[in-house]
Amino acid sequence: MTGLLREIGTAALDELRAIRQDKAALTILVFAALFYAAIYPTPYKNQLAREIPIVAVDLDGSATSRRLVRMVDATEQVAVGWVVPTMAEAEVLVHAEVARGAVVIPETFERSIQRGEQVVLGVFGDASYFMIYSQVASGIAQASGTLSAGIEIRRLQASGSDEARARKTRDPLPIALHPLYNPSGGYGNYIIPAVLVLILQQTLLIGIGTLAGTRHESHGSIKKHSLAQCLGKALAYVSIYLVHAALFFTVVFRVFDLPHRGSLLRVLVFLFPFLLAVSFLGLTLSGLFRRRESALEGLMFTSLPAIFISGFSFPKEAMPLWLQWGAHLLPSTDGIAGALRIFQMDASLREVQVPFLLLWGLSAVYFLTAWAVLSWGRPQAD
Amino acid sequence: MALILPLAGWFILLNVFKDRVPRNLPVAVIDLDSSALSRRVVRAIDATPAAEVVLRAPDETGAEGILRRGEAYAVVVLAKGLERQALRGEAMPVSVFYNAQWMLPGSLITRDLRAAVGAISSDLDASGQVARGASRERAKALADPIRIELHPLFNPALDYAAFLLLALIPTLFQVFVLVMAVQVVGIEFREGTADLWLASAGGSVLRAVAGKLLPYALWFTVLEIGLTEFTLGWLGLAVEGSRATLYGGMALYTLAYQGIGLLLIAFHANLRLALSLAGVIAGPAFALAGVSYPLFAMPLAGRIWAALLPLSHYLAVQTQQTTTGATLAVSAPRLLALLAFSVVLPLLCLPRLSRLMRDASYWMRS
Repeated sequence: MTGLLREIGTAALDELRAIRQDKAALTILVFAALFYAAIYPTPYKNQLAREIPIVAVDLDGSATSRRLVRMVDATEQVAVGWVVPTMAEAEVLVHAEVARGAVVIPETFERSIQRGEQVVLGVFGDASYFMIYSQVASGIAQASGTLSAGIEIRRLQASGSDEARARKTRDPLPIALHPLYNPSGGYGNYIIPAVLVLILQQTLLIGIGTLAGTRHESHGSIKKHSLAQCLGKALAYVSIYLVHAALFFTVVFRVFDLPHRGSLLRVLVFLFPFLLAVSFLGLTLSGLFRRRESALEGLMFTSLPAIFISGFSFPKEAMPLWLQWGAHLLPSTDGIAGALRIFQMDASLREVQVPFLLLWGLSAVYFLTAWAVLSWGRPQAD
Repeated sequence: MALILPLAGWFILLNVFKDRVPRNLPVAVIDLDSSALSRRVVRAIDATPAAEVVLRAPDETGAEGILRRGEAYAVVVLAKGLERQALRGEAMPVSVFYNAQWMLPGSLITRDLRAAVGAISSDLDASGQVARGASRERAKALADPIRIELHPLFNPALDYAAFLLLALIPTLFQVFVLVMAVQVVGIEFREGTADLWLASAGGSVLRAVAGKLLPYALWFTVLEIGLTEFTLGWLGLAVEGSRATLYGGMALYTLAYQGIGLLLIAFHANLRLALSLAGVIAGPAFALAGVSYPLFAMPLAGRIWAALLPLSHYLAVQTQQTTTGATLAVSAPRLLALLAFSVVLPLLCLPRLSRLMRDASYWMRS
């Protein structure tokens, strides 16, 4: 047993030395991983689109309508850049993509309110962009809600009830929404942690493939590996990537000021089988790559499908069953789900036992396939 | 590489968004009131398109555990006394704790829950007003003096899956176009055959490059147009603008990534380095393209980077031509940018390439 362990240790050190000597692999396994983690979050630094320019169409031109325009402008979500008297003028601005939305105040706005009739505000938003539309809609709704509540409370007070009571009567069954884990709704808080896990997987897969390509070029075929060598290689990759993961979940989170609640140690314990599964998957695929560049060429495109099938951005419940199950073959699917639940939501290992066990299972399966590839040592067939 | 992988990638993405608008996302309910009203709320939640009640917990202690185990995206708590208080006109809120880390399910569920609970609330309020002698119309106006009518422009069904899917086709292809361009040109230097390549084109670097790259440009453009047409048909979307502008833009877009590929090789004639740089360009491109996160909300560095990506220009043209029905004039600046990448950039690279093709000291690097 100690003999095997010593062999594994020697093999791991050999592999680390091989990485240091292969400029191509070193670039990907060390520098690319860190580089991506440093630049990818940059566009999301501001987290949200604020003060989106919209146009107000004031068909009423009354004191109340002007008050509403000021209230809309005062919201964080939108800024009223233009006040125009006709729809046609607003349309020009929206179609030129200068204004991203419009609020239309009807002619009878003030009069209807005074008479106690319901008035209808038209809200137009550019819905081809999800974030723009939802920010425009919520900004205007917030301003009109404030105005609306003020009006009704004044009415109720006029009919003799006190303010607190008036407030309650208006909405006898209110809804209180409590956003957890990303309370500000920031886009960066949402996407960056998941992408960091994906960066670990993609650079590691490509890096292992590059190492294999380099060897294939110099030896002309895959060398026959012993069990200890196979395990030693994986150990080398996992140890480099645990350091990456630790840096990602501390430095990147600090630099981009991302909220988190879980412990670093727990997330690293969880990521151990994730990195092991990725390593063995990489070794399995390494049989495919004959040149140093092959892995880059063949695997670069996989990031996009990988993030979308993980169920992180588009919910997995909406996908066909074969894809929901198939998605578990990629370590990123369970890796993202579990790492986020631990680090963002402070879940315990027991609470993420499903993805944790699935990743161990995946490690076992890919270990067998990797060993099959490495121990057969196929002859050159180019 | 030029057929199977793009088709496989597209097929997977098509299936991810198969259902278009996610429905029946799991929601847990903790009903501590067990009253007619609380049951009405639960039924209303279950009846919304976005939410499905999959779990009922007996008390609040396990609420967060449900979210942390991923069993539901939201937990609704109906407190004891809910019905009694509501009927007295003393509001007691329906509390919804939702997982905002998973953004889309969270926003879909809260939107529907807000509407469902709001409808019950204004119904109770109107009933109260009617009981006090107001007419139903009048009661409605009193309950909500200003009503908002939402008009989502250009995407009335708020079908973001359709948008995302259409945008992902060119995003997927940029990787293939770029990698293929770098590969077919770079391999001549790597294998040390650049001089033979140049000779076979009669010594003209323009003819050599065009002869190698244009067939791929044609192939990828045709494939992209085919997949876009199929996807549009499958989504049931019409092209509001002009197909000529859209597909003209797509051809320029394809050439633009070949232009970038050429630049990467012209830089150092090193295939592996060029491919690594291609990864840096193509990897984060979708994040910077302004589809999921608007460009004007990015810091300056992000906006500059986005302006240097043909993808962001092409996706703007695609949105303008497929959904907003913009004129050619609106898309013109974007098309000009694409023209610069697809024509000017390669021409600028040619002198340097021609020098590299004659200088054997740049060959055989990896």
